[in-house]
Amino acid sequence: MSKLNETKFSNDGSLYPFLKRLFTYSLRYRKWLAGFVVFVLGVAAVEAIFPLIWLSLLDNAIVPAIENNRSPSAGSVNGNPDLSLLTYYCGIIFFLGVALSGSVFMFINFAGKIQEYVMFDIRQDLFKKLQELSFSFYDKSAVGWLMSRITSDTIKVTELISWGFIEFVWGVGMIIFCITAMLIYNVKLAMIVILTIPVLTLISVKLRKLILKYSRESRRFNSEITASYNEHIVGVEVNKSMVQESRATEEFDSLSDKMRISSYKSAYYSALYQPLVIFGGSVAAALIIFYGGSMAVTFPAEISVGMLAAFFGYATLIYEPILDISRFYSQAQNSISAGERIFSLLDTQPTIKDRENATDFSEISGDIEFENVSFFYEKNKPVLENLNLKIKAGESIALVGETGGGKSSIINLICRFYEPTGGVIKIDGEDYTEKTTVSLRNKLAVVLQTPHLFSGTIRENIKYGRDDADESEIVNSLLLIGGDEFINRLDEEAGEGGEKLSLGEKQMISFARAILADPRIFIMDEATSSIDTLAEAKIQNGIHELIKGRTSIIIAHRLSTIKNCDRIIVIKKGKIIEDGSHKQLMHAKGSYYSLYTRQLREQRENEMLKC
Amino acid sequence: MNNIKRLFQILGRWKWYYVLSGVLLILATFIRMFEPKVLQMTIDKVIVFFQTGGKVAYVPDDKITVFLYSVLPEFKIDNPELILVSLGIIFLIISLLRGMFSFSSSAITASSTEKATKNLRLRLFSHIQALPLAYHSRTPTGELVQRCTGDVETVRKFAATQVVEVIRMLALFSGAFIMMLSINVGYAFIAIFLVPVILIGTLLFFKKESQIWAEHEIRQDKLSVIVQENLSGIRVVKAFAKEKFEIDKFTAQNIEKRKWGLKLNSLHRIFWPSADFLIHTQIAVSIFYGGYLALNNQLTVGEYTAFYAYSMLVTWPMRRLGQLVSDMGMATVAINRLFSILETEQENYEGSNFSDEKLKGEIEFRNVSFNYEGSEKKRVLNNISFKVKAGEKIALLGPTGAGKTTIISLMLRFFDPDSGKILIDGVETEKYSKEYLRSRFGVVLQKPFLFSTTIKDNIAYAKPDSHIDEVVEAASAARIHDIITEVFPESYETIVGEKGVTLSGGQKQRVTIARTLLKDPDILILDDSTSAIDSETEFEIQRKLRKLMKDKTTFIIAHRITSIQDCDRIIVLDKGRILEEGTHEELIKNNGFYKKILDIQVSIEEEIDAETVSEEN
Repeated sequence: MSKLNETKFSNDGSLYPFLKRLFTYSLRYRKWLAGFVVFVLGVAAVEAIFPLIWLSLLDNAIVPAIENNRSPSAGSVNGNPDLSLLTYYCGIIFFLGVALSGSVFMFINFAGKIQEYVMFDIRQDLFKKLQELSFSFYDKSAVGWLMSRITSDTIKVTELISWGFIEFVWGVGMIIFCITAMLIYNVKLAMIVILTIPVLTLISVKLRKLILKYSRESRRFNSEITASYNEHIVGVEVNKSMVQESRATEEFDSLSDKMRISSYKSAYYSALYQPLVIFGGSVAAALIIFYGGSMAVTFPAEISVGMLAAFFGYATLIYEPILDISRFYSQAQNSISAGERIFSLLDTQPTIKDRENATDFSEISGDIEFENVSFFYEKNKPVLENLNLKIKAGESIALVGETGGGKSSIINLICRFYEPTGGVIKIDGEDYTEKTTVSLRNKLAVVLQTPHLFSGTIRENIKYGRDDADESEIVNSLLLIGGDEFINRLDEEAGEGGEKLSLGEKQMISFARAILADPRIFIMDEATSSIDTLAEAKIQNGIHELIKGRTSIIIAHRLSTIKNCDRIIVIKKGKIIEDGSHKQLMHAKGSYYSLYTRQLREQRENEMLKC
Repeated sequence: MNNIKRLFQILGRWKWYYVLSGVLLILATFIRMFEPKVLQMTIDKVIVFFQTGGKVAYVPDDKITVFLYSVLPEFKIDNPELILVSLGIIFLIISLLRGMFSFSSSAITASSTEKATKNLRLRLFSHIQALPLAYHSRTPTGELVQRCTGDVETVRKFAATQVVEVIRMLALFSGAFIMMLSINVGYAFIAIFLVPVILIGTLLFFKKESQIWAEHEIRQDKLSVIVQENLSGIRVVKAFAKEKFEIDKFTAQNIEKRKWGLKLNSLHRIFWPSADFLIHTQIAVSIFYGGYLALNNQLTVGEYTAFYAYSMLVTWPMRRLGQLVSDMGMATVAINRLFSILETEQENYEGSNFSDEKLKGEIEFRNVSFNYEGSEKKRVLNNISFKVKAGEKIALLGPTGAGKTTIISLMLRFFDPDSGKILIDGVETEKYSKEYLRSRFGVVLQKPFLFSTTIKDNIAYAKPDSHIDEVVEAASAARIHDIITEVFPESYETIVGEKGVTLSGGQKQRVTIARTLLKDPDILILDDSTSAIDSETEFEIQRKLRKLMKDKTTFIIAHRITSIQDCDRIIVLDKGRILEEGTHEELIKNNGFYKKILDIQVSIEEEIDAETVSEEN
């Protein structure tokens, strides 16, 4: 079962559909998004107006007053200058500062809310989808890989549409405001500045592509480096015993050097990028000095000193919004793969779904019937072929046989974790695909080979079998399987995945959980690993209680479990080769007989050597 | 302080390049100071000169304007274009120089950072390879990998962006401030009077932020745990039809995480606007005071405009301060974690190298006792003594935890005994270098581990330059050659592991046996390394081994008696002590533990006979 390929990097073509789909999430919060855009534009407007105010201040409050001082009519009267205009303009600047801070407050507020709510929504969607997906999906997806979609990938894309998007809106707003302001004041000078924009954009696109190329390359090397660390840490004992530490280090060195080079190249072009764009702006500024200066020196002046200063300011600032927009562009490019991982998961369809007119199972007695059932995981590798099997309500069945023979497939089919690829499975005489999955699973309980518990108390773990169980039912279920020792330990924490408990303890709790569900059908894949004799005896007792009065199907490894069952079915290469009670099969001296003998010997030897 | 020292240590011999890069950046910043001056010149000098028809000749009053004035062509009333073009060119030259300096600075930083990072990664890798197994057994792999990747990346980012940024901020701030001082001292101080407030505010904010951040991370981790548990237990969830219950549990924690995310955000939405507000108040006050001075003829208009530009430059580092402090916090944590690995003591590789000399294979344990670090309950080995002659085939037998694998680890010097001596060819193991010793031994480890590379490279792991014939020979001896050529898609070039073909346990074991055989060891150790191989193949491998390892000392640990009964000597261990030793026959006579295991076979046959008989009755 190969893992899905993670290192899939996309081309530019997928940027737009990715952004479009991502923004459907933030469009759920239209008001916030609108507020976000308005206030970011507000910030851009304030920042664009700022040089204008400065311009007016110079032209209206300072220059005339000084010229007045200088002109002979004022004479040497150098009394207190009139500060009212200066105060007025500084008041405006202060007010703009307040407006700016207010806008910053508002957009941070909205951006943060959008980020948190969209993150919440995407995670909800992903988690719900994961609960829907079938076993066939989980067979080929590593847990860590799925985890990173809910954690890091989600963070990455939500940062893009919140904080990353600020740069885009700000940049676009800034360019528009600056252009408008400049056009209002002087078209000729405005054109000089505006003409630099396409040039700067071209530089941006070219260099950003180079930077992206190398940063992707370096990320690819990075995942190789991670794999290499992992492998050589896990395999450190091999390296030591083969005395290959230094060779492994040399190999790592060359890998690490590859990453260094591509990482450096990406940084090199980044280093080139900003000065280049700034220089582009400087060309505009130099032209402003020349043309603007020429306009200012004529008499009467075509433009004022303040306006010259303002245009100079615009020319040296115009690169900033372009830098910001290009940053958004590259952030978006870098998030595409995260986005694709998220959306491809959301688009995955569960293979097992209830039919539209599916009805619930009401009470069942527990008859199971396989009619000509065929099954495969991969098309050209059939696992079961034309299997026929009848299990009467209340009967207990031990499935034995070699690994890969099809035992697990049989229990997976009964639980409807998979559906047969041919033939019909009937529960109480009804084809189970015409029924709802939930109602089937409510009637059965499964104990898996490696018992899985959840963090929380032992009580919570047992109650997992049935939410509305009261204390006495929990205690009863423990008493029934011989788990008296847990009655006083119900409030004990099980730890993550049940890590605080021993294997035997986890097994017992998973039995209690199963018995509390009071299933009609009990299914178990017995653990192969041996536990100490005392726990073993308890577990046997537990199994014995569990199968009483229920239809039970057990993949059995322990001889005592096998002997406990009413019927033993030997499976080989997807077919039933022997079927009968222990005594019958022993008497037949067929494959069960030899299997039993061999297993008995191994078990005894193991008991001697492992306890 | 310690952290800064450690940071310098990571930057290593490249740290001077950061200084160089910083100097270049300061130069770039210094040159940037000239840019507003050009505008000042234009306004003060050129425009006034030409507008007044050359009557008002402005006397330049600082060194920069004197310098700029000196490079300009002579002022004549009919040459405003020439002067303006010259000013434009001067501006472009300044800008070009500034660009070149800042580019070289960034390029140097990038190159040094990547080199230092590569060096750090390599140092970590080789250090980890040289750490004793005891360290590896108590440190989870995931944690080590996370540190070597995530933490290294944090440090790299800090080195790439913030180290020089600190220099740049200081340079910008002091450069602009000095320029302002040169124009007007009083004004310069007015222009920075809110700086202390912003500094203190920033520090307070980040203290608070890191607290809330920690809380937020706890929520985030809890959410991850829920997902992790859910996904690894998805079969249980589905079997009990608890999807809805799980979604509710997840939703509750997701809401909790969102709550803390919003808390963090409400802190940010207070801090950043407040900082902006203070900065703008600062600017407004500066502008007012400058205007006041200008109106009182204490400042020219040109100086005033230059001042405006400088006060923007002075406040700019304030806006970046927040980011710097927060990155510094993260980098500090990462650096400390990395050093906790780097400061863990490595294995001691010293000792005499016997170069290519072969070992004869005489081994003696003399009163050896050993205990793993931290486990004080019982001794793993308790006063063990035995002697092995060169060329002997020894089997170690005993329950799990008896100390079999520990005996192997001690011979290879993965650990050293607490007391007693181990002699190989009559020489104490401590006298051999670990490298030499391990290169003479061939161990097939209990858990077969293969690297994700080709089968060939895996078999030739210890001798990478082996000829393919040698590889095939070793593979044939381990009975894996046929499988490799017939089953694997690309024969010996097939890649194994995650990216390639997954091997069964038995196949893996056979590849590891081939790997060990190719090494041509003087002493062979098979640590329960045939457990997943069927008895028939195991028998064939053993026959082959007997030929290959003729006259060479061999240790076999096995759980099946059938696979060890032909050994020259069987040592039966339990709870760190030797219970009995001898040949198969001797041990049967001895009527001890060994005999008991053997008796099982007989008893089983009787038991089964009884069952079939009872059915017949």
